[in-house]
Amino acid sequence: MVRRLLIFILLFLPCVLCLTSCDLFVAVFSLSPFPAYLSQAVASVDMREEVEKFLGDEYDHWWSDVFFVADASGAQGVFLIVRKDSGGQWIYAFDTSLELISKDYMDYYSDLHLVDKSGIFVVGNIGFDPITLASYGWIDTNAGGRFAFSNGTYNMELESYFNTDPTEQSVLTVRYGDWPLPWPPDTPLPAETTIRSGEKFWLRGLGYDASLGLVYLFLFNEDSRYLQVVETNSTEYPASLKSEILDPVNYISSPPIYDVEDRYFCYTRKGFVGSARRRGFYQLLNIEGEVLKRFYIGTDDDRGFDFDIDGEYYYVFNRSNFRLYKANTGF
Amino acid sequence: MKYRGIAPTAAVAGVFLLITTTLWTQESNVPGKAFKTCIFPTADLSTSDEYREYQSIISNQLRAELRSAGFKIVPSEEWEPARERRGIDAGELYQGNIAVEVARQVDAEIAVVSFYSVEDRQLILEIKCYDVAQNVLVSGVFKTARINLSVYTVIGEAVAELIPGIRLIGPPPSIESPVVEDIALVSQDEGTEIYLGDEGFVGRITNGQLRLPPIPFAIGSKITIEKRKEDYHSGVETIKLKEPEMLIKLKPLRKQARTATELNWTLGQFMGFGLAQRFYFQPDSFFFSMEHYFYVQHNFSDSKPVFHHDIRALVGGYLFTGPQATMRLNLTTGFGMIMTYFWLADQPMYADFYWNVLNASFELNFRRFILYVRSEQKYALGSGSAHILEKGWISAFGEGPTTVTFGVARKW
Repeated sequence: MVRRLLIFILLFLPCVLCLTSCDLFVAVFSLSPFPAYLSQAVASVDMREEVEKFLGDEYDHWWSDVFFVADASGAQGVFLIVRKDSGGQWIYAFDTSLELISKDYMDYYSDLHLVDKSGIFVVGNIGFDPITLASYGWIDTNAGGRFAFSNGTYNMELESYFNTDPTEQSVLTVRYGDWPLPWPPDTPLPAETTIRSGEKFWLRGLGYDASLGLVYLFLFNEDSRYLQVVETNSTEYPASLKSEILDPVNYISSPPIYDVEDRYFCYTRKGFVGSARRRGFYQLLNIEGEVLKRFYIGTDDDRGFDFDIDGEYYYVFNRSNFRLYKANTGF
Repeated sequence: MKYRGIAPTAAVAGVFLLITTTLWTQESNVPGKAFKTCIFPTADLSTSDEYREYQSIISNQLRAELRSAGFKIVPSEEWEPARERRGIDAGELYQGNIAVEVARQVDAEIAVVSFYSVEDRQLILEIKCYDVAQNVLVSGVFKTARINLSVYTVIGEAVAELIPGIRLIGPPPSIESPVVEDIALVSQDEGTEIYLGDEGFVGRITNGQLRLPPIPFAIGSKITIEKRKEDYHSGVETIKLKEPEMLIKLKPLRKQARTATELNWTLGQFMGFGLAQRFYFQPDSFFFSMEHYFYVQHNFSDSKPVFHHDIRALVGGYLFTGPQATMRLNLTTGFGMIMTYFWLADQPMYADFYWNVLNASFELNFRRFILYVRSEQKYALGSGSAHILEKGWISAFGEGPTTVTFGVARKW
């Protein structure tokens, strides 16, 4: 009996080990109604007390963002923004082991996040020291959007719009300069670049790799429902940016990628992350438009999580248990 | 001259042939050929005697038409003595039973009765023909007409319509099928009571069999056997009797299940299993069940196990088919809680409460086991002090409320 059991175990274990290398087996057996980051988590921090104190009785009327910010020297920070619909937001700064370092409050909304031209982390118009993550307090950025970066010369905020005049062009605008950014956007220098004529594209994501000096623009075609990723050089911003951006003569760009939703796009050095057309599922893509990996996170928010620049970890805030998790990507 | 000599002979022969042919043709076409028929006097049921003359008109018309149609009319002199002998009043002869009785005395095959009444110059006429041997109405007409010259036409039409329907029904066919002499029932359900159609209780299975009492069932007929035994579901079998001596092996009865134990696997929770216990309020029909599903969440790379315990209580019942059916469908609903804990430091035990909105289970029902596949719809309530899932449908597929469970149940 014991001998048979031993034989069974000796046969069973290699079979299981063999199966775990099979994609289908892994896909079926790793399915779970619970978020995938629970089993991939390497650290977490409980923010219940902080968040509940801020929300008071406004439990159903709040939102949150998570941003990973890194500079070319390797300084990194994880930032959680918690905002109330009735106004105001807290910005919490964590190191990458999710230790809460500092926090600051501002009485209006902003989801700006970048390393500015002076090298400090600016998140939600609050400045943080890139080394200590200590708060420098509020900065008058005069920025209104979330897609911004700095090439060391200017702080730049990018937006897109569709020109409804007879030219029907999708246009990328760049507001740039020192803080506060000038308004209207064509001062002091005009910087409007056509994305493509005749089609309605919107800027839906921006990834900046400071070490490589590359800026990736995630442009979504609203009419045909596809994504194109464009690789641009940060030194061209703003004045030397070529037009049209999606012309392959000017920039390397991906072919149209259809199997993604217009929700969340992110750059990592291991590929681009786009939300798949299935709730909670995502894809890792390359500039050729190939799907490198399909994976499940479990949240379908476009702002509840962010990836680090190396593609090793992602950070996600669970609004049910008020915990911020750091999880392995498995890329 | 010679020609003249032949001509009269040929003419006579031709006439004879013509008459013979005509008569043969007429006789072969009429329905009443050689039927011995009693035509009884037409009765006037009017409240006054004002229209009595129609009695003889109708009677004569009937007699003439039936005779020309080939019926052999029995003269009234023959049946009158029979009527008198039986003490029947002549005025009652319009009634079918009485007329048939008189006609039978003179060996008539067909009895014809007729009657009419006139009210407000409106004639209502009815004529009926009976098969005397079977005492069965074989033909009848009903006519109405205003009293004027058209009455005669209507009478003629009534008689004409009557004649084609006259025929003899004949006696019913006799059944002389062979019968089954001996029926023995064999069953593994000792003590089962056997009930047989109209006969009711006929015996109990003893030592594995029951010999039915002698009942003359025809070979080729079917019998319905009902089987009853305490703690078992009653069963009914219909059996065709093919041979004079029948040995019938009865299907085993299904024991009434009071409880059942389930073992199952749910898609999205494959690294684990569920155990459930059903308690039937009514055997194999309505039940309450408690289930505990334990599973591990792991993605086999850069991952540490997360442990889930899904505990739920359900109530449900079966639809459409009974406990004997091989394929069954049941619906359940209830509430549950998923407890979650994992190795990561500083993590409490989480509890996600949910409403198990509806489960639809398709089952293959065997005697002791059930194999089933079940679609499940769970809705996370997003309540409790420590929960992970947000309010919404629980799904392992990212979207849509459905997940699927495969399982086996042992009935007790």
